[in-house]
Amino acid sequence: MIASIKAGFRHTIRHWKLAVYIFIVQFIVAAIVGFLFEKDLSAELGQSISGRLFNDRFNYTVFKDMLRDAPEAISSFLSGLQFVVLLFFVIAIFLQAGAISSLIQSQSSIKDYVKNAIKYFLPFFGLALIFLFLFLMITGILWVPLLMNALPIVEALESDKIFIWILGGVFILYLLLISFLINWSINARINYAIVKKSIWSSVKSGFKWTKEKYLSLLLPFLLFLCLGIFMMYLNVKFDNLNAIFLVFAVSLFLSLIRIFIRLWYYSSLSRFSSAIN
Amino acid sequence: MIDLLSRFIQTWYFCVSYMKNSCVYIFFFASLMCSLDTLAYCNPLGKVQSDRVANYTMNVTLDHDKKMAYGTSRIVWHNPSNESVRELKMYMYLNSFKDMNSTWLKPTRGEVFGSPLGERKEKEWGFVTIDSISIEGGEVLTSSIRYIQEDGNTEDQSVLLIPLSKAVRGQDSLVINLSFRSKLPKTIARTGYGGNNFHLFVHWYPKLGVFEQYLSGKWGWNCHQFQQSTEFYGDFGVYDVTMTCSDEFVLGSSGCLLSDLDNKNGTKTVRYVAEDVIDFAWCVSPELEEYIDQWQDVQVKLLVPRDHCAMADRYMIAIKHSLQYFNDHVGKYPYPGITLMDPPFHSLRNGFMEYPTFVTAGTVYGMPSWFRGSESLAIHEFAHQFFMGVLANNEKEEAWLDEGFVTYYEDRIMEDLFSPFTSQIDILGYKYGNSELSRDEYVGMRDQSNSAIARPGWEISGDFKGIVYSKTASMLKTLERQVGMSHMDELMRGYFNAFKFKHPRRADFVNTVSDYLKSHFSQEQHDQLIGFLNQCLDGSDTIDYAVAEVNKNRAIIKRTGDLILPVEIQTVLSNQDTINQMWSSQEKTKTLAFQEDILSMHVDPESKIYMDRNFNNNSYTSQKTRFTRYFTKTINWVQHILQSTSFLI
Repeated sequence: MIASIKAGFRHTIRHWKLAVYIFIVQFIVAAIVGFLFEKDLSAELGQSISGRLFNDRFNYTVFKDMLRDAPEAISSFLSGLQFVVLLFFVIAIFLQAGAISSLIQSQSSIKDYVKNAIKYFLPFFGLALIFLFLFLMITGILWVPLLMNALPIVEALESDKIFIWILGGVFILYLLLISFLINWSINARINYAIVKKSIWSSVKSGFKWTKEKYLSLLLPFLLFLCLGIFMMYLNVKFDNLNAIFLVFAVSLFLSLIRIFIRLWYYSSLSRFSSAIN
Repeated sequence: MIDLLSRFIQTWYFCVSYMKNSCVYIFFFASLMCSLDTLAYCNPLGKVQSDRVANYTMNVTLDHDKKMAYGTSRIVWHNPSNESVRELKMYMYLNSFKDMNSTWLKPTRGEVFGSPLGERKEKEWGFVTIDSISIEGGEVLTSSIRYIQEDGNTEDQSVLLIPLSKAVRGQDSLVINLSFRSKLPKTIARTGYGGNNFHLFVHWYPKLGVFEQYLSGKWGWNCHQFQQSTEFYGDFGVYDVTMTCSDEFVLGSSGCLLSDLDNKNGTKTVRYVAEDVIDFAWCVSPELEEYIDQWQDVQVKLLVPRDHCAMADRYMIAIKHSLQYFNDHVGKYPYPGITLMDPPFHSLRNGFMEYPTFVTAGTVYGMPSWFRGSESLAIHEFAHQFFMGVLANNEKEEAWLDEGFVTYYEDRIMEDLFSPFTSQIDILGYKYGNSELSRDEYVGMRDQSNSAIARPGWEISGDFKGIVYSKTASMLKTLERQVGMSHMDELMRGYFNAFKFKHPRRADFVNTVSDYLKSHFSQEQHDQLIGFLNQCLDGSDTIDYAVAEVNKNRAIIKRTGDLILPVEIQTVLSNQDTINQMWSSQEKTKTLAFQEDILSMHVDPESKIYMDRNFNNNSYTSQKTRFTRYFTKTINWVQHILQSTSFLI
């Protein structure tokens, strides 16, 4: 696995352009949402001194007064967000299809990327629906009964510490299942891109492969997960009103790094898969 | 010394066992606090501070298997009037949890605080009953007592009438002896027993109502039935209570510990005395740990479940800070001790309540330090020692005089302890303070059309908390900002000193404010502020100032709502001149015209009218703010969200 990670890294470096393509598309989608939000804020608070307060730092009173007296203030933002989520669902599949297939075929030109994305879009769309359904199912089965019965459970237990531990235990189980699901999802797509059989056979092969190699995949997955969380944490902590654009540039760079890490993970997995097969 | 050492070792052991390595600092703090036990004291016998109208000497034994306390009570009651009294009235509030037919439970439709009552077993209900009652050395009254109802619900047994064949003459005393049984229900509305032998005895004994002079001038008993939206009202006195229970239990109660005797038969007998208080509550549980510290001459005792030991220092800081804050701004805490009990989580429904010198809080294992809800609630309940405990208003008829005032001081203390904008929550840039929350609860009420504050609890429908707690707190905050903090403190000190150990009413507070304003402010300001207070107390008027329109050098200011106070308008002109004007706001709109163009305008720039429904429309600036920061942050966050979801799809 370590050899695959190293090889995956070198391979992703060679195909750095793929990360840039994804980054640009993501940036455009995010900018639409950002623009809508800024427009709403400007309309509601732009000519109020409260706006300055809110711009200096988050201000609960300004925010709540805005929501209460002008709920329409963020309505275009929210409707825009819904649209963007749907749009991104489609775009993400398109980007994934291009990225995974281009990485496997060692192609990184924009033309090849788009060609591959178009070619694999429909099967990847089908795969996305299957794994989204499984994700919702796992989430529902694990969390809904527990949270709906939280109060009677806590009252029946000797200590709330036990309940917190139960929550922690369920969370770890959830994390393990989701990590399995994500690896399964990626492996199914890699399998489809390599073998080019039907969706179901990719799902089956992906499951078999993930089941066999799950323990080897878990550590790199957790590593990549931690890196992703760390990037988001940096995004929160790195905040300076006097250097908005510097902060913005650094945050964009962090976002690009996250995309690179994701591609690195795909690449490592496809190497690992090829090495095994 | 051996005791000190043993406590230290015990603390070390339980902290290592339960908190592992993550709580090293807490362990040292807890060790220190537990060790301080021997240094702290609680002297129950102080000076006489109240009229001591109703005095109870009780002796109770707890049968924890049956959830029953068997008790005797000797009540010495002084007739505070010059009139003869021919009957007594007693609260029997545990009977409200006898079945679904009580006035308290009938309107609940089988559910209280999310807890269904319909499937309760017989043994899970509670009651209090008097087995015998007699005048000392005289008449036996047992056969003549009967339950009475003012609401016509004949099945309600929360108030008992005791006719006396011989009247108690004015200023005379009466001594009655009674034996009673108090069966706790499985917790309903803070009262009762929970899991693992947790018992909280509140409003658990036959307790006299308040014989007082009504506003009409007539004397009579104030002893209302127990209703869902009302709390309690009692007379000051001395409670000398001896309790016997299993020696495996930790016992906490109102008052100070006078003796603790091991009966060598698996039980112990403890005696607590509380002076100049209006009620007495106690609890037992095998799960509680004791932490004791001292603030000046006040013993601060915490009873915290082992798993919540990480909260002990946070509670202790909150209570000691409150003691200091009240000392500095209102008056000295007049009792020798205060006990805070944090129930185990399985009995959390018993938490968040106030009793004289004994309050209950609540938290959860692993409560993060950025969420200060537990401290806030502990401070809220503690503040009731002043508003309810010492200034013993009638919580049923005028709940705002305690809940509203307590919320106001809770906000002030929390903001002093942390900061005005982070006292409730402070995490990753999302933050808000207590006053912000109180104001939001008031101005965010769905229906403000029936929000008069000064009404009996049973007349308030809808958002009780929004009206009684938050509107009152915002009203007091507005008053504070109008007169200034030092005047507010002086005013409240005057109110506290004038009415401590009494039963203040609305008029007492309003007259105190009025007298103070008359002597420190102009007649016009007096009239405006008293008018404002009365409007808040009696009416549902709201207020929202707005800069409605600005056109070069002209502006229109608008007032929506009729809660009228004069307001400051600050205008900055294009030549950089700043003009401050006062607007009486008697009319709905005001047009302002200047020689120069308007750069910015701010109505009420210091937010002195804290009840304003929307601060955002109070101002105008010609230099439009660009929200570049939110624009860039949104882009960054949306990218991360998209990135995170991409793994799966």
